[in-house]
This record gives sequence, C-alpha cells and structure tokens, in this order.
Amino acid sequence: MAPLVGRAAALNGLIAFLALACGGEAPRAGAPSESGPAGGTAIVAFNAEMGSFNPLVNSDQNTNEVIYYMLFTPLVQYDESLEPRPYLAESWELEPEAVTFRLNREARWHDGRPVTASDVEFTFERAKNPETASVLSSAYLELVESAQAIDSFTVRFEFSRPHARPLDGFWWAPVPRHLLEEIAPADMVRAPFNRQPVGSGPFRFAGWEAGERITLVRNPDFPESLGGPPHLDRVIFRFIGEPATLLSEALTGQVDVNGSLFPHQAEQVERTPGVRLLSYPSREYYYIGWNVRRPLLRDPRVRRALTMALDRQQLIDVLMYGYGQLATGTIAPWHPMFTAIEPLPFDPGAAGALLAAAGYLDRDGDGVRATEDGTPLRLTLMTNHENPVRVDIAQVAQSRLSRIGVAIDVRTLEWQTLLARHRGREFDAVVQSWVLDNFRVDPAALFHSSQADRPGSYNRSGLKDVEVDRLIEAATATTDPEVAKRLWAEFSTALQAAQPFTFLMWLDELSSISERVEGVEMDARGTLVSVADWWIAPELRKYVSERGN
Amino acid sequence: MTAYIFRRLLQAIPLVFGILTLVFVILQVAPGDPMAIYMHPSVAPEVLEQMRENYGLDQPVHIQYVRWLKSFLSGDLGTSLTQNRPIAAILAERIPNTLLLSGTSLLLIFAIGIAIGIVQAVRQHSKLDHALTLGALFIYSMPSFWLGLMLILILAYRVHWVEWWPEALKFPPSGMDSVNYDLLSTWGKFTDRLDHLVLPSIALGVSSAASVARYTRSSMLEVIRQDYIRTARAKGLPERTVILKHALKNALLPIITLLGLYLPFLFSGAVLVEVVFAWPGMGRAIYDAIQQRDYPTVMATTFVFAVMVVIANLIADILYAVVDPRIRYERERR
Repeated sequence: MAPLVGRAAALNGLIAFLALACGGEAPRAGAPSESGPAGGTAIVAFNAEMGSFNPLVNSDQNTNEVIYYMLFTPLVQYDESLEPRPYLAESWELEPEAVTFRLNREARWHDGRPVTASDVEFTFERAKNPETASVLSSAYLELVESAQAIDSFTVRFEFSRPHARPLDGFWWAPVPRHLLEEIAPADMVRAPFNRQPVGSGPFRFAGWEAGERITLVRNPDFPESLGGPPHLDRVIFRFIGEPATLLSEALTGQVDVNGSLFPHQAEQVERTPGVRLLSYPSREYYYIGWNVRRPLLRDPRVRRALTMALDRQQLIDVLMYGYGQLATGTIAPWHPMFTAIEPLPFDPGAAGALLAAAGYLDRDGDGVRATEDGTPLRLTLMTNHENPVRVDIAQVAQSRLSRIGVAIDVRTLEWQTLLARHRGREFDAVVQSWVLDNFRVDPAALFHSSQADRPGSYNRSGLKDVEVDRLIEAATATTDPEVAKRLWAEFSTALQAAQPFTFLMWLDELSSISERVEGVEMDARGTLVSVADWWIAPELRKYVSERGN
Repeated sequence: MTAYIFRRLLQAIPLVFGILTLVFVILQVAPGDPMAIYMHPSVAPEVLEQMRENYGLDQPVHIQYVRWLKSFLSGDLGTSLTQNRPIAAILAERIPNTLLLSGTSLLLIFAIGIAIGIVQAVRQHSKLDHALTLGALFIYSMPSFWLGLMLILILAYRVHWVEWWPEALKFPPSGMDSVNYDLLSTWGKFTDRLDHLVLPSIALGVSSAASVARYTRSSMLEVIRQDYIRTARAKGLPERTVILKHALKNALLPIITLLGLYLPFLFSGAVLVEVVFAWPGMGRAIYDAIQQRDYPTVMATTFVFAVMVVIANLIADILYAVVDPRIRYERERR
C-alpha cells in the first residue's frame, strides 16, 4: 500500500466518524491547544512480539511498558527524576514498617467496574503465592509481607523490615479480581485474559493478530484525575524482527515510531527528511563478567588490570557510534541513588604493572604472562553470535589484552548455549548485558556472597567480598535516603575494587519518530512513557476507512 | 490409485513419528532452557523453579516424552511455553499464511521458470539463451534471505526517493497487509494483500524458478529432437502449436516431479523469508520457538512441516501418474 499522506486533506470527515465510533467524546479537555481535537493513529514497531498483558506473569520489557503506560494503572508512577508519584494510589501514609494507600475513586476497569482495594489485595496475594510464579514477587514484593483492604479504596501493606525507598516496591498494576479470581494460581500464566486484557489505563485493548499487530484504542472514560483520555484514537504495534526491514518501514513513513533502532542505523535516520532521531538513556549495561572462581582470576588486581587495559570510551565511540556512557557500576547514571565515581583509567602500563605485582610475568618470552609454575594467563571470552556488537567487543578485548600479555580465545556461541554455560559457571569470561526491569536498587542478586554458590543464581561470577556484602545490606536497610545514597557510593567504590565485572557502558536507547507524531518524549522510563500525550495534527492523520469513498 | 494413496499415507506414519522422536531428542540434547526468557536478577531462582514445575519441565526427559506423546496422540498439541496458549490455535493462524506465501511462490516458480525455459530451448545458443542461463545461475546461487533484503532495499526503500518511479511499483517491506486493512473495500483488500505478497514470494521462489528454467530448457531440447516433433513441423503446423502443444506437454513430465522436490524446499525457505519480511507464518513461529526453546511448539511445527512434505511428495507422485498414462501405481492382479 502506498503511503496515504497525500490523501490526508480529504479525511477530516472520516476522523470525526472514527471519533464517534470510539465513544463520540468531545476533544480532551485540558489538552494542549495546539494538538487540535483528539484523533489519529500512530504505528509503533518493535523487533519482537509482546508477551502477556497480565502484570502478574509478564516479564517482557516492551509489554511491561504497555501495561504501565497504556493498559493498566500502577499504584505509583515515576516522574522524570525517577521519584515515585501518586497514580492509582492518590495519596499514602508511610510508616517505618507499613504504608497505607488511598486509591483514586474514579478509576474504572474497562468493563465499567470500579478499581478497588480488593483488586489490589487480590493482586498482591496472587503475586505472593509461590504457585503463581509471579515475577512481581521477587522484583517488588520481597520486603512486603502482607496486604489488607481496609475499605473499598484504602489498602495497607506491612513490610517485613524497614528499608530504603519502600515506594519502589509498589510500581506494579493491580489486575481485576472479578475476572481472574477463578483462575488457579498455577494456571495464571495461561489465562485467556493475558491475550485479551481488561485493563484500567488510558488505552483499551482492541485486538491482537498474532505475529502481525496489536491494536489499542483510546479510553474516552479515563478519569481527568489520572490525566484524562489520551489524544490518539489508536496505537497499533507491529512486530518486525529484521532490523533492516524495520528501518525501511520507519524511513518510508509506514511506521511512526521505531522502538528497536540500532546505533549503526542512527545516521541514516538523521539524514532522512520527515523522520527524527531520539536518543535517551536506556536501562541496559554491557559488561565483561569474570569468573572469580578461576584460579587465574581470583586476585582482584588481575581483574582491575584487565579492565584498565581496555579503552572503554573507544568501544562506545566506535562500536556504539557514541551512543552510550562509560559505566562504573550497576547503579545507572540517571538514577537518584547514583554518585559519580572516578572510573578505572585506561592505562595499559599500569595494568601490566598490576599483573606483574600479582605474579604474572612473561617468563619464556612468548608474549603471554604466566604464573610461577608456568600456567599461562590464557582465558576464553565467550559471547553470543546473534549480537554482532558483543562479538566486536570480544575481539577488541582480545587484541587489547594481548598487548599486556593476556591471551584471550574468543568463542561465539548461540545465545541459549552461552546462557547455559554462564549459568552453569562453565566460563572464564563473558560479554553480556543486563537490563534493569525496575528502579529498585538491589544488587544483592548479582554480587552478594549468599548467592555465589547457589545453583541457578545470578552471582555467576561467584563474587564473595565482605565489604560489598556489608554495604549492600546496610544500604538496603537504611530508611534515610541521604544515608542510602552515601552507602551506595561506597558500594560502587568497593565493587570497582573487587571488579567482578568490567563495566563497559550504559547504552543509549534509540528511536526514530515520524515528524507527524508530536509530543513524543522518551527517557529511562521507556519508549512509551509519554504515549498518552502523543498527538497528530488533523491534516496529517491517515489510515482511515476507504469504504463508501 | 486410492489403495496406493492409502498405502503411502500409512507408510508415512512411522516416518513422521521417527522425525518427531529425533527432534525431541535433539531438543533435549541441545543446551538451553525455555525459562531463559524469564531470567533476570529480579526474578528469584525459586520463581524460575516454580515456573518449570508449572510447565512440567521438572520431570525426567522420558516422562516428558511419554506425556507429550500421549497428549499428541489424543489430538492435543499442547500449550506454547512462550505464548502460553494452545499450539493448535497458533497453527490455525499460521498455516494458512504460510500456504498463501508458498502457494504464490509456487505459481511464480513454475510460470516464470517454464516460460523462460521454453524461450531458451527455442532460441538455443542465441545471445538471449546465454544471457538467461547466466541470469538463472546468478539468481540460483543467491540465498533467499539476502535476496529478500536486497528487494526491500531497492523496491521498498530506495524507490521512495526516485521521483519518476510509479507508485504502484513501490512495495511494502513487511507484514501481510496494511494497518488499515480492515477499513479497506473488498477490492482494496485484495490489492493490498497482493502488494504485500510481491516481495516475499519473489524472494522465496526466484531461485527455484531459475532451476525450473534450467530443467525446462533441457527437457524441451530433448523433446524437440524427437521424431514426432519433426512430423508435426513437416505436416505444416505453426511453430507456436508445435512448441506449446506437442512439445511442452511431454517436456513437462519431468518438471512435475520437481513439484515434490520444491514444496519442502519452499517450506524451509519460508523460515528465513518470513523472518525477513515479518510474515506471520509457520516459518517465523518455528524460528522463534527454536530460539526460545519452546519445545512443544517446535515439536508441533515440525510435525506440520513433516506432514506437508509427505503430502507434497505424494501429490507429485499422483500428478506424475496423471500426466503420464504409462505410469500405474496399482499392482496388477494375477
């Protein structure tokens, strides 16, 4: 189909028709005056299909954004500075070991029933029930012990102990009790609801053509106290796995927002008229994970030396086209708890000296350092071949480290195979990345010694560092944000000294956006964070009925 | 003939069963974990264990196999581990889409291939013949996914910046239909679907069309040298009738057998082409399922592919008998 831009002028009448079809609402009150009447369709494309529209069991990030910003109403929502602000919970009373939320009384499920404290309580109980295997339980509710609906719109949660930033534990959306109560917890993951959700957010679910598209439509009844109905009539999600195909769709105007843009494609977006590039901090960091159980890697000096031999800024500039930020730890630079610490310098000379001090010398002149008993400093660096940037990183690391006398064998594996090795601790070093799925700071799963020997845990490097342990425990226990921030800074310094990972970079997220779609803002909260404010000028709207024309 | 078909279908049962068992074993031997997509520092290992239990993945392999076989034989293909819905529902959506794509490709392969083959045979050793041979070889050696990307680059992207290029020859790079498909008139729907079929069906079929052209050329050349063609020409029939009526009919005989060879090829080719063009068919389903170790979905899609291939071969054999009356599959009674 050819783009319909040219026909747009003739379509104003039809837009009115569509507005009627969606409930015949008057233009959104309080909308920016320049946006004109509500209406229009935006096409958003990602490289993978969505997961499950059930907040209890979904774990896919793009789907989560749809849940948080379009279909459902989480108890709290984050503002630009990542501080929790009221949303479904319009106010709260925070005590050291409990919080009481008062819910917005105007919130409605899309079938018309009110969203009540009973729904919140039900969601909590299902999430805490181990049989549900809900991702919410460990991601948010680890320190929340019980929930109790006090009246229809008041709910109280008790904590198992006082802790820092307790509201971070409530960035999740309740599900409707009346539609899910009959589903056994273990079957929640297969509930038909998950693919035809009844939510409570500014957009309603309208249809899912598997492999092709998901359509959400404007919820004209979304209460003003929660921000009011959105401007757009429809948001259609498309799923295009091949990056070049997706880019073609975006550059020719058939996809309005490309939410899966790669750094090497950014320049082409900038050169194309009618499309603009948006770059914003992501929640993903790249790292080289070292297996500290390996005798060769046991000494933290060795791990620091390996980091110092890598020009990490160059990796960002060359492989990421500058779209990234040097990483020094697991707390993201945009997070309120972040304190900048001096990164380990790129200094191959000092790195060599550290290795020598640790007892690694090139004893036989073959260019590879070895221990006193002749074991060469030779490591296998693994990564997965599906991600060409990681393979490039591994190869650059190989060449850089050979200059300080460390022999690296690069092995590229299929992702699942790599993961199996990494999880099974059968590795020396891996190039990998983690994506934060929420804004809680809790690196215990990755670095606490209690996780080092647990099978299947995430402390795959096997770090056991008393100082790191102590600071994680102290920082998660304090209720004073200032103290917590100071402790996290100390933690970052301790982690840098231990260097179980070579932290490479925090990636920038990239999106291409059609100029016809306005009001688009994106940040670490996600691609869709401002979707309720997106708007399209009436003369630029397209995708309307041909029938009767 | 009916008895023959029945016998062939019966023979296919152990074959398909063998394929499925083999795939099951390979999947179990390959490293990987269907729960990998859930792994994240904020998802505790116990939660993952519980998920495994909910899916029955904590059972020993042989029990999983027997369980799977039991439900499979009772007609239940199971539930997808990633989409969390019945696999039968997924297949019902995906199979028609793949058949549409490979069917269109098949038409294209034989129409273009045979036409080019005839032209080459009639003009043997001409410059046109050599050019077409070279072109066919070039296209034949191109991998379909690469060709697909090139088609997108040129016919779906570059042409948007060429002013004189006709609008009708700008094709959509992906998907089965436009986002406003439901709002289109019946005719609009038809052309929209056709528009979306052009690039993927070319990418999928063109290399096979090149080989059909090669086969047709040699088969035609052989037939043209036969006595009865000389007779036809001698009795003064126009060349057109000689070639299209007398020669082609006999030359097509070996081409028909190619049908059986190409159908499986089309299905496997569809895996990559569907990924490149975001075509919501079986190929993409099997690709995603393998990557995510969605075992039951891999098994079910493999089953469908195996059955399609068996049927395709059967159709080729039957067609063979239809075009060549000398071929009989029934044993004569003594």
